[in-house]
Amino acid sequence: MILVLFGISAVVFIMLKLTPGDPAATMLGVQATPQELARVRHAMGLDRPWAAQYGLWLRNLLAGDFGVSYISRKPVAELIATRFPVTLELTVLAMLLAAVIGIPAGIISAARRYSSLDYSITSFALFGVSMPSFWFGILLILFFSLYLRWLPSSGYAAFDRGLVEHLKHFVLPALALGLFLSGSLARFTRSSMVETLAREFIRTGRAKGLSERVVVYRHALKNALIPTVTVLGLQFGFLMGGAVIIEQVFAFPGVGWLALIAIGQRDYPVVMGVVLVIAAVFAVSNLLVDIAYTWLDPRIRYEGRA
Amino acid sequence: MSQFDRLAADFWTGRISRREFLARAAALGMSAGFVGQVLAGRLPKAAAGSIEPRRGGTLKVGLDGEIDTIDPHKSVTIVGFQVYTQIYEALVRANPQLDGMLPTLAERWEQPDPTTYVFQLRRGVRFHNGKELKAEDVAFSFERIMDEKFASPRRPNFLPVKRLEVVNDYTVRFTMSAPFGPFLSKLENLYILPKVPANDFARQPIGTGPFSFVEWVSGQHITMRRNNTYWQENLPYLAGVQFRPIPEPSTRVVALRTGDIDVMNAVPPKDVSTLEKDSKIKVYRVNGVVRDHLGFQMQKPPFMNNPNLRLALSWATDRKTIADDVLFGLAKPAWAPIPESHWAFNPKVRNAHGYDLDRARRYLAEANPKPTQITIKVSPTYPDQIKMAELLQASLSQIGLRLNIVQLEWSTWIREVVSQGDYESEIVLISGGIDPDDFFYQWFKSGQVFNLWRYNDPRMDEMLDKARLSTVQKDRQALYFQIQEKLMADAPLSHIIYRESVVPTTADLRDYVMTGRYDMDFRRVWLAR
Repeated sequence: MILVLFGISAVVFIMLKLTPGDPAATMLGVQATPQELARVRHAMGLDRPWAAQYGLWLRNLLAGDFGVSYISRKPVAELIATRFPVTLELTVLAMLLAAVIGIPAGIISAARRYSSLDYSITSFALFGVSMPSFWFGILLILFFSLYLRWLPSSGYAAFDRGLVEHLKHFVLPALALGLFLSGSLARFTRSSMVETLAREFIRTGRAKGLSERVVVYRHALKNALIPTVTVLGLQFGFLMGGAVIIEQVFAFPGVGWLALIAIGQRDYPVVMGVVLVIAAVFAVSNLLVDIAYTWLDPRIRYEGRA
Repeated sequence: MSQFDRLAADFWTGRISRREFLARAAALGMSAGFVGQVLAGRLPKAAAGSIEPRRGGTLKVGLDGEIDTIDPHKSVTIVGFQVYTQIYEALVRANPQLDGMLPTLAERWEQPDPTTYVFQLRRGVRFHNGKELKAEDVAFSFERIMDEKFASPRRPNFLPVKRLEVVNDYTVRFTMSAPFGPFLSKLENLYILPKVPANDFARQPIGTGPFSFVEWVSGQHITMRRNNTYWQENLPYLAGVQFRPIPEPSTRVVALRTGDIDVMNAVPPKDVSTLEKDSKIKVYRVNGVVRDHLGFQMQKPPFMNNPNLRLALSWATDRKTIADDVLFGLAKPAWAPIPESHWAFNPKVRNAHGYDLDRARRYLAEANPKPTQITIKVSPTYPDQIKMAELLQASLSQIGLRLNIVQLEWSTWIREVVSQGDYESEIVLISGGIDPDDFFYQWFKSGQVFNLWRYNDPRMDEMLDKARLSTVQKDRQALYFQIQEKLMADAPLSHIIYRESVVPTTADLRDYVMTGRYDMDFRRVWLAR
C-alpha cells in the first residue's frame, strides 16, 4: 500500500509539472514582470530540478510535514484536517443513501422479474447511471430549494447549528452524489439476484416448502451480495472523486473543492496532499472489501493468515 | 422612497458633499434635469420627509469563489478585492463612475510641483485595534509593498515613486522620479495597514474600513462586524457582512432567489432576465470597463504592414448582434479602449467602424497580401469569445475569407498569444482602470508586456509618454483624443463590446451604488426588513 501511495504521488507530481501554469504567476497577478516572476520562482524553489523538488516534498512528508499552501500560507495538514471530515461524511451518507435505495430496488426487481415494478426500477437505474451528477444536483436544487423551499440550496452547517440543520444541508448533495451508485447497485443486485435465484440450492429451498420471503432474504441475498459489496467498496473511492464536482455545485467545504481551487491556482503542496489522502482512502476501502468477502463467503480465505 | 430621492435627501441634509452627490447621481443614471433640480434646492416631493435608513442586519453576499488571501497587499483575485475593501481603505478611492479619485484616508492633497504630492491625513481615524491613523502607518504600508522579498503584486504601481517622507504625524510627501500622471489612481492600491510589523495580516486583518474582521472559515464564510468607530459618522448602517463562496453560478442564483444570500457577484448573463422578472430581486446594471476586442499580430504576416486586412476584419465584426445575442443584451458596441463615460473618451471615434460587408470586401480587395484564410486563437475559459469568433467566421465567409478558430487552454493561450506572440489574430476580454494611462500605456506602448499585438509606432509611443508625464487634465485629454483617432486608423485591434456590470440584490437592499467594475461598497446600504 505504501508503494502504491508512493507511485501515485510521483505520477501526480509529474502531471502537475507538465500542466501549463505556474504558482508564482498566480501569486503575482497579471502585472508581474518577467524579472519579478523569476525572483519569486527562485525564492519558492520552483527553478530547481523536478527530482530535487519531489525529493524535498517526500522528505518533508516522511517527517510528517505536508508543507504549506503557496497561496493561503496555511499548513496543508490543517487545510485537509478541517475539510476531510466533511468529504468523508458526505461520501458515507451518499453511499448509505445509495445502498438504502439501490440494494432493495435490485432485490425487488429480481424477485418480481418482468413486472411493471421491475421495469420502472430498471429504468430508474438506467437514469441513475446515465445522468451526470452535477446536472442532477442542479435539478435537485431547483426543485427542493427554489420550488418547494424545503431544503437549503447550498453550503454546510456545522454540528453546532444542531443535528437537523446539519443533516438538512447534506440531503441534496448526498442524493446527487449517490445517484450513480444507487443506479449501478440496483443493476448489480438485480442481475446477481436473478442468477442466484436460478441456482439449485434455491430450488431445493423452495421444494422443501420455505416461504418465498425466507428463500429470497435468508438464502439468496447473502450469496447475491458478494458482487454488490465489491461494487460498493470500489465505488467508495470513485464517490470521493465525484465529490470534487458535487462539492463545487453545492458550495460544500470538503477536500474535493479544496483540490479544485488548488489545481486552478497551481498550489502544488495542497494538490499533492489531497491526492495522497484520497488515494489512501481508496486503498483502505479496497482492503475492507477484501476483508468483507471472508465474512460473506467463508470459502474465501487469504493465504498467510492463521 | 427611491434611491434618487434618498440621494437627494442625503445631499440636502448635508450627509454627503456636492461632489459626492454628483458622482453618485451619475452612477445611478440620474437625469441631468433631476440633478439640476436638486442642486437648485428644489427637492422632489417624495424626498421631503426623508426616511431614516434602518440600522442593523447582516448582509449575506454570495461570491463566485474562495478568496486567495485577505491580505490586501497580496491578493490578486476579484473576490479578494470584494472582501478586503470592506476592511481596508487607502488614501483615496475611485469615484463611482471610475474616472477620478475621492479623498478617503487623505482629507486633501496638493501638488507643489509635477513630481511631488503632499497628502494631509484625516484626523481621528482609528484602526480596528484602536490605534490612531498616523503618517507612520502610511510609510509602513508603502514599505511593505515595496519590499522585494515580500513580492507584493501591488509593487509595480509604485515603481515611479522615488521616496516617501513622513513630514509630521498627519502629513506624507511622495516624490516621483519623473512626472507621472496616473499616480493618484495608482494610490488606490496602497491599502493602509497599522504599523504592527509582528501582526500576520493574512490571518488577523486590521484596517480602518467600515467593517472589522471576525472570522474566516475556509470554504464556508468570512464574517465581519460593523466598525463602531468608523470615521464616517453614523456609518455603516449594517451590523455586519458575511461572504459565502458559492462557485456554481446556477446555485448562486437559486441562493439569491431563496433568500439564502442578499447580493451576488458574477451573475451569468443568461440568468439576468429571469432575475429581473423576480419581484423579490433588484438588478443593478451600469456600463462597465471590461471590454472584448479582436486583436492582430502586427509583426507577422498576414496582418503585418497590412492595415486594409485589419480594417476588413473590423468592418466585418457585427458588434450589435454580439452584444444582443452573445451577451443577452448586457453589452454595448465599443470602439475605443476607454468607456464612453470617461473624460478621456473621444466622441469622434463613436461608430467610426460599423458592420458593413461591402466595405469589408473593398478593404479585403486592397489588402496586400490578400490571404484566403486566417487563424484566430481563443480560449474556452471565455466561451463567449468562441461565439464571437464563430459570428466573425460567418461574416468573413461571405466576403471570401476563411477563418480557422483555434481553441487553447487558458494558460497555453497566455503563453502563445501574450508571451510568445505566436498567433495571427485573437479575441479576449480586458479590464480597464481609472486613469486613462491604465487603458492605454501598458497596451499600446512598444515593448510593454500587455502590448499583445506587438504594435510599434514611434508617434504613438511619443504621445503615450507625453500623456503619462503631463499632470494637466486638459492637455492629457487632447493627447488621448489623438491617440484614439490614431488607433482607429492603424487598427492594431478592433474593439467589439463593452460589457455591462451587473449586480443582482434582494429588493430589500437599499441605496446600493455600483460601479462599472466589480467594487462592492456597503458603507451606505441598509436592509429594509
